[in-house]
Amino acid sequence: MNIFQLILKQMRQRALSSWLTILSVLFGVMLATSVFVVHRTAGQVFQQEDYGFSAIVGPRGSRLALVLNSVYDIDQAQGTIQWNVYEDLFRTPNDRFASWAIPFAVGDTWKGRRIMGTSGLIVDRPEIASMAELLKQQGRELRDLARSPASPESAEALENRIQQVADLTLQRFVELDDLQTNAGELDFTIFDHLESIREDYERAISGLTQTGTAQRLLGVAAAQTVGERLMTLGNSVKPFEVGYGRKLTIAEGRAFHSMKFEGVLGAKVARELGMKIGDEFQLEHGGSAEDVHAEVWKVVGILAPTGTSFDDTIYIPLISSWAVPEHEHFMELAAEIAGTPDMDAPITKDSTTVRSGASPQPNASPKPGNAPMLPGGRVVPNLPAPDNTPRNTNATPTSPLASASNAPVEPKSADEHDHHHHEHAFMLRPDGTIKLDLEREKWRVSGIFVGTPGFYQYGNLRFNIEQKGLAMAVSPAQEMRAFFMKFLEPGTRVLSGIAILVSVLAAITILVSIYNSVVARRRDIAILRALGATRNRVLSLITLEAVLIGLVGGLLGLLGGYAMVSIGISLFGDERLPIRGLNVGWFEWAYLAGVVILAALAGLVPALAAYRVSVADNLASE
Amino acid sequence: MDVKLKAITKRYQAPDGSVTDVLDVPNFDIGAGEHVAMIGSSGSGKTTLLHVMAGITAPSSGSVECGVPGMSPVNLAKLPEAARDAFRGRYIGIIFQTHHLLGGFTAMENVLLGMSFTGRPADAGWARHLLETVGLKDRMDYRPGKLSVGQQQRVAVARALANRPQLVLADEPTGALDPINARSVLDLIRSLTTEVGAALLLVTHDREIAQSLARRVDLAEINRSSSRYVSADTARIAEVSR
Ligand SMILES: Nc1ncnc2c1ncn2[C@@H]1O[C@H](COP(=O)(O)OP(=O)(O)OP(=O)(O)O)[C@@H](O)[C@H]1O
Ligand SMILES: [Mg+2]
Repeated sequence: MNIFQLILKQMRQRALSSWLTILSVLFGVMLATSVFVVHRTAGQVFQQEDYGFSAIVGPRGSRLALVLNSVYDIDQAQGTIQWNVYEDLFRTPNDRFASWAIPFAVGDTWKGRRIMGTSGLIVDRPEIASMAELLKQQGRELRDLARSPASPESAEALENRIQQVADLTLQRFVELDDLQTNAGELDFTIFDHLESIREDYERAISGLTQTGTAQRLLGVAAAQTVGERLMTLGNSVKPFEVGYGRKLTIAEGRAFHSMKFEGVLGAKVARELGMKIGDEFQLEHGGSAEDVHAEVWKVVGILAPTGTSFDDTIYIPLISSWAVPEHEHFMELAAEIAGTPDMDAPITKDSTTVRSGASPQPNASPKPGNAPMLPGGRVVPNLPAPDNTPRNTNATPTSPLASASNAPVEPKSADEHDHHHHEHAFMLRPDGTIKLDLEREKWRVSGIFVGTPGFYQYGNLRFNIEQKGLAMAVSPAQEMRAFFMKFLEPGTRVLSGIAILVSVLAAITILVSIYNSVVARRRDIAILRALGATRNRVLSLITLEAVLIGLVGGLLGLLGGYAMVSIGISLFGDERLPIRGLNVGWFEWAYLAGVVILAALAGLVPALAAYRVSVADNLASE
Repeated sequence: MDVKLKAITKRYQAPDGSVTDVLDVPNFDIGAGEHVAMIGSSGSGKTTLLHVMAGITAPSSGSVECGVPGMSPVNLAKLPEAARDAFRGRYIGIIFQTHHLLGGFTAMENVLLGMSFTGRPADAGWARHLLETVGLKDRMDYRPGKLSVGQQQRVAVARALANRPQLVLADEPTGALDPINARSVLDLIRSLTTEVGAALLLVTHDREIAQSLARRVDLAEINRSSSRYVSADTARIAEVSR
């Protein structure tokens, strides 16, 4: 019979007392473990990997509120920032600390779900990478070619080079419309960037088409700028990341056209509201179901779940949210849309103006006077699907996508709101894209999700932005962790104290219980000694019994603690709290070892009593 | 194994400082395989002497030389306690007046427990043989509480022989039994001791039992301290028990 069989037999002999002692250890360890696990899990909850973006740039104010609102959909948005904060992020290549940036506007809801007006880059799809590649490749080509005539071998060679640059620039300029059309479908901001690059193109072309070499060299320089800007743009075209390396992807349908009244649903929204592709929704202003904007969006896609609050959001194109006239905080309708009076229909649905978007359209620039002439007298095309036809003043006011069957919404659209002064923020081009009539200075967003290559760049980005005084940059991980720990720390400290107290009590229970058993078993101990057991054997026998109780109670308590936390999480958990797998940390093992050592120390007291038992005295007949 | 006691004294000191001399035995030997009966009036120091021979109690002076064949003689009186314990576990079997079995263990487990402190693997076959010999073939899995007093003492006999000891010390092993039971337990002790070739020292009050062993020793005669403590009462009790 080995020592463990002996111990187990002895414990079985007083099973009730043994189990009760184990139970007291179990409770102590269970409490302690759950406190430790909660504390450790909480400490790990908000790590940088939880966020695909390093920073949120938003209006100055409470840093925490900005994170809570934009990431967790808690509380109200704090205000808006000017569009040029976004543009500045990519303006100067030298201090580009952002590797990507996704602007967003929040504040409206549909059936209580957050609606986020944002860039088309919010949803990842292959077209984003190919667009980025195309922009970079075209830009590099132009830049490299435009750079080279810096050291001309001869006047003739120089002339050749300039002609090469002119040819390529013109070729690219012709292609710009197609590129911009595609970009417009993918992401309005790329469309917009290209729109501003168009000016550089025009400068380049006007220089290159002149006769003087000096003017033509200025044109080459402008062409180089175009190339650089295209490359910069291409480098910034990256999809949004919800968490480190995790993107929003389409599960069903497609991503929205970044310039149409379309939307995609987060997985949770689709599931809980039972919405499908083809359904329509509107914007409830400021979260109120009674104040519904007239415009109607169509669901074109549903996102795959990510387990974050981004699943509980409806995404619409940023430009479509600007198109809502009532969003007067950050937008204003130009009253003079195509010369139509203010109260006229904002939308044209005239089928006669529908043209094929594939072929470049004749002169359709919003600034027709500036449209440069290409060699050969060809008018340089401008907007991809321009709409400069006079508005059809007979059209009935109607929601952009509303059919006749949606009639109840239509007549109210202009009159139900007493707080709006401008009904027409936009007009629709024949292909259904939105042409915004809002001066750039009035564009505003709630914030910008910004990805930086590393934490160092976040620091620079923050300094750079906050120095200008227009906005602030906040690291969500940093802010949330600080916030969480502030509330959790004192509570867990108190609970840790209690847990340690309970563990010590458990050790005392072990001591008392085994001590009593030693007193009661003095004769048994004397018998073991008579049979040849040494004092040390008896000592280890009793100590090991205590260790065994500590170990069994401790392991069961560890399991119990984890079970308690898991149950707690499944009952009260929130998808907004990114809880990692409940792994056993070194701290729990250390604590378990501590409990076993404590149990051994507790067992040592009765073990020493057993050690001192006199054989001769206790063998005397009873 | 043979045991040679030389100039053994045992003195107890009470907490109040008073001193009691219990043993003063100049000479006492047991030869290998020899069966010796020891009588002596109550309080004459029989149990104390047994404990000294078993290494349970260290004598105040003198030596307890144990001659194990193939080993140089061991003086139990000089050994440290742990070594005495180990020696006892390996070479000496003890039977007490009451059975002294562990209540939480079955008959079989009690016998196996007797093998647990020798550092050698337990011999379950031998344990079974012992229990069969003492007539407990169908009681091996009973705990002591469910055995009769006579059966309990048989288990104790089996346990004392579990390690094939070379010396069996029995302290009034039949004291709690009726004459018929006493007879059979005594026979078992003698036959099993003979079977393993051990020496036997059997303490008894019973003259008849003492007569049946090869050699008898009256402790009162060899213990120079005992006579002083033998009262008239205990002498009479000894007389009656004859
Ligand atoms: N621990 C002790 N402290 C003091 N005196 C003791 C101690 N143990 C035994 N004695 C004394 O030693 C004497 C011998 O006791 P012991 O038990 O050896 O007698 P015994 O011959 O076995 O008697 P019995 O036949 O009644 O069992 C007794 O007088 C007893 O009081
Ligand atoms: Mg006695």
